[in-house]
Amino acid sequence: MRSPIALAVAGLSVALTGCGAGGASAPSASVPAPPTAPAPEPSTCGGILFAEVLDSGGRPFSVGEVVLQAHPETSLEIVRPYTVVVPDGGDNLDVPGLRPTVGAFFSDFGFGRFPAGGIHQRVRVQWRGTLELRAEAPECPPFTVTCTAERCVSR
Amino acid sequence: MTRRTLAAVTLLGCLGIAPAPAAAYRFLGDGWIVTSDSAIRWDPFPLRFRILENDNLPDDIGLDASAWREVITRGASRWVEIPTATIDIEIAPEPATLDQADADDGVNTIGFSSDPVFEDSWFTGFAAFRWDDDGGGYIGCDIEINPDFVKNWSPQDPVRLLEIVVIHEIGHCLGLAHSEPHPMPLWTEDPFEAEPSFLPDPVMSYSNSYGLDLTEDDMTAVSLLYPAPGFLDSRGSVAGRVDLDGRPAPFAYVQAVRPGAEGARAGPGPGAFADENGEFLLEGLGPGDWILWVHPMLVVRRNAHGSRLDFSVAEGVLEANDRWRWITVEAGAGLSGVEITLRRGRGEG
Repeated sequence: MRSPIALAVAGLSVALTGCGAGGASAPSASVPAPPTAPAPEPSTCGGILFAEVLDSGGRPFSVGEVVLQAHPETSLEIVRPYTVVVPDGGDNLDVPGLRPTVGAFFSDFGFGRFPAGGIHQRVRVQWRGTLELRAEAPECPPFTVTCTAERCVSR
Repeated sequence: MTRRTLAAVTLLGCLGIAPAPAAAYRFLGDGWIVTSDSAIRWDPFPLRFRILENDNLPDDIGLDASAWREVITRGASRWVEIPTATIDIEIAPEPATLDQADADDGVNTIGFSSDPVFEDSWFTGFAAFRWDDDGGGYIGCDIEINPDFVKNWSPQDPVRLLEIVVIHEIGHCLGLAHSEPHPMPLWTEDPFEAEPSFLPDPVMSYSNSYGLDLTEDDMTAVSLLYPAPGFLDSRGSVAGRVDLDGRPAPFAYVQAVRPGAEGARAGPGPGAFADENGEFLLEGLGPGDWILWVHPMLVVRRNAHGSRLDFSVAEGVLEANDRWRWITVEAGAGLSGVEITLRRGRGEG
C-alpha cells in the first residue's frame, strides 16, 4: 500500500543573592564581574545574579553582562524582550500574522562548575527596550533582574 | 513490500534576505517525532543519483550541464566527508530523462523540474522519497529544483545558493527532515556583537543564514543514522520532558548550546523537538557541559513542520518564553529525567 503523507546592557549594576545568601539587594555600585577569577562556592541554593549595564557607544542596543552563580539545577527564563521580527510568508504557508522571536542577543559565553556542582555562567547580552531575566532552582525563591538602557534592578 | 511516499518542500531564504553565508535535527519516519533507532535510512549505500537531462537549466546564471554536475558533486561531498559518519553517494555518469523522476522506478534522480507547481512559486525544490514500510529503509529519492529560483529569489550568488539547495535536498534523501534555526535570529536583527558561532543555521533548517559547510546539528544527525566506528560510544544523550503551565509542551525545541567552558568554544550543538507529549531525547551530544536552550518552534511554516505547527499553536506552545537549563553529558551514557518548565509570556510587554 502506498500512502502519500505530506507535501509537503557604564552604569549601575545590581547583585542579587538567592535564598542561601540572604536575599536581594537594591541597586548598588558596580560590582566587578569575575569572568576568570575563581568565584566563591555557592550555598545550597547558590544564586548570585550579577547584571551590569555597559556603555553601548550610542548604538540602538543596550549592552551588558550577566553572571549567574547558582544551584546546579537552576534554570534561566528569558522573560523579555521578545521582538516581532518574523514576517508572514503567505496565507497558505504560515500561522497568520507576525510572531515574536527572542530579542536578547547573547555572546561571550563563559562557564564554570564548582566542586559541589554549582554553576557559574557569564554571558554578554544585547537588547532593545527592557531586559528581564528570571532564575529559578528547586526549593529556592526565584530571583529576577530587570535592565533598562541605564541600569539593572533586582526584585 | 509496503511502500510509502513523502515529499519535503524546501523554501530557502524565505524572508527575502540575500543568501548570506543556508541547528537542529529531525529524522524522517513514522510518528510525530522519530528517534535515531527507528528513523528511515538509506541501506545499503551507495546512494546513487542520475542527473535529469532536460532544457530547464537556468542558463541565465551561466550554468551549463558540466557546471551543474560540479554543483551536485560538491553538494554530495559535504555529506560524504563528514568524519563521524559513513556515507557513500555516487553521481552516475549517465543522465536520466524526465520520466525517470518517478516515485517508483527505482532510479534516484536530481535535476531542474518541469513541474508547474514551481511557476511563480517561492519553493526552491523538493525531495520525493519512498521507503519500505516493512522496515527495509529507503527505496528511492528524486530531487527536483525550481528552475525559476533565480527569478524568484534574486540571489547575489545563485550558484552558491543552488549548491545549498542541493545539500539540503540530499539531506532529505539521507533521512533528515526539516530542523530549526538557532534561537537567536541574527539574520533579522543587527546586534553589534553577534556571537559568530551561532551562524550559520543548520542547512536542514528553514532560515536565512545558510552556509556551505554543514553545522554540528546537521553532521550529528546523519552520524546518528550512519555512524562511523566509535562515534556512538563517543557521545551521550539527554532525555526528559518539557511542560508549559503544568501541561506537556508538544514540539518545544531543545537546542544544546556549549556554555563556553574552558577548552570548549561556546556555540550551538545539536537540537531536537520534544514529541507530542513534551518528552524529548537529544542524542549525539559530545561529553561535557551544555545549556539546553528550550524555545518554541520558530519556523511557522507548515511545509517545514506540518501539523506539528498546528499542534503547537493549539497547545499555546508558541507563546512560551525561552528557558536555559544546564546539564553535563558523559560519553556513552544517557542523562534522563530532566524536567523543564516553560511559562507563557512570549510577545507580552
